[in-house]
Amino acid sequence: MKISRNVITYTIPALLAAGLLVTAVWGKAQKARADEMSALSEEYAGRYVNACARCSRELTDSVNAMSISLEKLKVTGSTAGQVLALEDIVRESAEAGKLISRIPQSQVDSMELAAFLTRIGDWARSVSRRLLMGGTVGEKDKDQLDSLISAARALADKLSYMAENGGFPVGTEEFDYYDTEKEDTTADEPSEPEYPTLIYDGPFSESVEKAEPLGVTGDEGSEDEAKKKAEDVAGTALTADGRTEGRLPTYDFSADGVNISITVKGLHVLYFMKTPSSDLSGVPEKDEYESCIAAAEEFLKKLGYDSMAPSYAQFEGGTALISFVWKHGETLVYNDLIKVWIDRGTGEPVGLDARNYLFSHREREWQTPAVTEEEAREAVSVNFVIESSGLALIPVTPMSEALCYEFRGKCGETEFVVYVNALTGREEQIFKIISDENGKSAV
Amino acid sequence: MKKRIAAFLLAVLLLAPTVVFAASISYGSRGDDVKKVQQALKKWGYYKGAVDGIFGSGTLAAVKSFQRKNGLKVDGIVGPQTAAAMGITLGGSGGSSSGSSTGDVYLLARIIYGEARGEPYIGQVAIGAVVLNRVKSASFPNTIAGVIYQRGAFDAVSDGQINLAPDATAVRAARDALNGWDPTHGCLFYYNPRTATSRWMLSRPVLLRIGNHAFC
Repeated sequence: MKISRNVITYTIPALLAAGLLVTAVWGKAQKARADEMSALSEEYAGRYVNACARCSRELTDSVNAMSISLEKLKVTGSTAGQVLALEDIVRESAEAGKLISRIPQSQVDSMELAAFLTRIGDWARSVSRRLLMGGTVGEKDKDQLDSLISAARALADKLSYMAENGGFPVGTEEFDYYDTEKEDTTADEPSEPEYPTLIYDGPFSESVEKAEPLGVTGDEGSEDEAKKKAEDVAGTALTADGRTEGRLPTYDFSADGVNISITVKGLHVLYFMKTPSSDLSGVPEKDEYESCIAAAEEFLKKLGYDSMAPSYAQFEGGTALISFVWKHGETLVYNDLIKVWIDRGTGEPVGLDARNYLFSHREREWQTPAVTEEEAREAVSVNFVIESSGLALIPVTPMSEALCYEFRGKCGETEFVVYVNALTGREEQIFKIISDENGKSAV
Repeated sequence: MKKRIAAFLLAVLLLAPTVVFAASISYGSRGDDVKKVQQALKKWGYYKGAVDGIFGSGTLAAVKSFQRKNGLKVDGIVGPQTAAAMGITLGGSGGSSSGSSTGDVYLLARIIYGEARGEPYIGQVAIGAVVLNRVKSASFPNTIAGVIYQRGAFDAVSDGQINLAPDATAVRAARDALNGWDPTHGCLFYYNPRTATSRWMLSRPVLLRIGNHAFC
């Protein structure tokens, strides 16, 4: 009785007090931790806001610089001066383009501006290239330059205004860290700049986006006919997955591990992809390589491509990927490219990609070389030891090709391919060949 | 940057015509490749001799015992298979040149895995193709990393799922996309029609549907 009273009178309150103390200490530690976390998050938020502010300032600066270079270009008389100004524009627009993608703004809102900046640089590169090849600035270029200057000026004004008045989106929407002076300003907000359409030949030009599949010949086929062809190619029964539109509409079919797309017009195989049985990797022995080439050539013949030459090969993920280019007489046409995948386990074809061929193959006007191969060799650097040569039609810009002598060889231990224009004798392109465990590629 | 993509577009078409056949080394070989083999064998305790670049009897015995332990053909010759098992590459001027393209495959595989694991295989390739179509488009950054890390472009980047290690399927899908397979016929966007809220996105014409994604 007495003991239990003691327990009630002393022990329980003591335990409670101890418990309270522990809770208080724990609570204090928790609070300190929470304070630490909130200080940390404030610090990170601050750093992020600063990074965004830096981005918007640098974007403003680079667009300003680009706008000035465009104006300078207009008053430059010499070709050398024009090329230098164009190179500045290439550099400044690339810088601005990189920065615009880092501004915390929806990709959808920045698309138009990003495209404008990319195309200015792309346009400048194409004009600069033309000037270096001996071309001149025409009326069309002058008109384009005028509209570019006014668009760039308007954009620079707009960005400067935003940088001064806090118009850039910073941080997340819930927090307004940026202390703006928007209310105090009396300056009128500049209107939205309008971006002109640039007409030129470069990788980002609108004409590239609108390119037509020139190699697609024949009449429209039915889904049943397409299915028959697809099953013949895939060697298995397939299910129809409907049509995909776009610039080159296709009927799509599939089975487990197999996908195949047949063009509606002409019933050409656009893509064929099958899961390979093997997982071998690494460059094979010569015998296996040759049997892969033979299997790929047979597959192409079956599809009606009988003048294709193997180009390079890569060995990854159980397959040999062999690129074939169209051969016109002895001239290799690199734009008319078809890729074939061979399963290294079974030796059977497990993939085809004819997209490049179907977009670019066409009747071409063939020119005869104006320069002999001996003369072309003169244009090649003395540091380059030529091992083999031939004629090739290579893409120079997305919309133009050049007939070239192709020289393969080495500079020291490194392999290169050098292209010399067969009409002008000028060096046109140089590629460095990189060999690794997966095969060869050119950069 | 622009220069890189322009060069890339042409490089895709202009590729070398021949293949270097796999180098192999055997008893009597000398050189850097032999050193690489000796180093690898030494690291794993198969070889006790000097790393001198000379393929002698000590190296031969070590190679054979490595092949036996690893279920390879025991011929004492270091060819592609044995070299691969050792984790080394023979020939060439050292393997760092392929670094950037390998990095691209892996980054693309990460976004595919983060965005579309569980989707049909062709749907995974399609995600990779959308990223690459953006790289080629004037309206988006011109590098794979630029496109993937653009703010708000991909949910898997915002919520950190991009940092998950991709599986073999995603890596294969990334490679197929980089090799040119574009099941989307040039699409720049995709969304899940059941969860998408952007009116702008929903107003775009849908070109095709694969699994849970509409591509436009």
